[in-house]
Amino acid sequence: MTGREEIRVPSRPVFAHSADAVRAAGLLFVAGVLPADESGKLVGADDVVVQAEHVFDGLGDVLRAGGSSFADVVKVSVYLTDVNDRPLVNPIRQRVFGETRPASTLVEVSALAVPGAKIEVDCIALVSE
Amino acid sequence: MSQRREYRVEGQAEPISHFTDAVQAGELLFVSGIVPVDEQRELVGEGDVVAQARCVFENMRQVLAAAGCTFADVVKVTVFLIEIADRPLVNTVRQEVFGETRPASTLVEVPALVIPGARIEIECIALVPVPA
Repeated sequence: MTGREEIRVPSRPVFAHSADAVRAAGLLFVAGVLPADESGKLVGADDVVVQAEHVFDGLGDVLRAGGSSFADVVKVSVYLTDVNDRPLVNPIRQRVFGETRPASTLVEVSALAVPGAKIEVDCIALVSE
Repeated sequence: MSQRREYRVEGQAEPISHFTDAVQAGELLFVSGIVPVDEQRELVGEGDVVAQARCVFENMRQVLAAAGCTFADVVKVTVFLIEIADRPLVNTVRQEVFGETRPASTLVEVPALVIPGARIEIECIALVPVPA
């Protein structure tokens, strides 16, 4: 596969001048996924677990649209507004990734693009198809 | 070679969440964020960002080596600091480690890292040398 292809998932909210993912050189670069509905409104109120479930669902949608899957993810970056939420998010990571273990970086950040969002996740995956 | 290969490196602390030390995808090696801890995940160099940076780069050297890489193969680093003013102190260590190699780089300050007391975390992407 060659070239550069932008992936746009119609059900995903658009927050900026960006695509949901871009394919290049056999890799899928997935934009940061936030806990927001199609209209961009916060999902999960102040519950980081509900937010994280929504984020990983969205990540799965984008991966599939880009011809990839959680098993193909090579690197994930997790941004939390409270680093102490990490243990709450980890069970969801275990569930979606199963036997797969990506490389990972997790840091706390002072703010995310959607007010009230406590988590954002982006990733890089191999294109499986 | 399979397209995707996970590396769990002996001597590195057990990953604190559901991830591994590095994953190779084709010719590229994606190295997880590395923190200044020993094999038991005890903080190294408390209060001393230079000692912490040296520990991070030693851990990184080991992870890179597991995939046959050296610092000369690194294409991108991302540095997370608790205190942006520590940058000049860390830069000296980066110069020692990378020598003539200059990777692409991003450096930002963050309010907190996963390991309490850690002042620095670094992730990187490297090119895996093709076997001769």
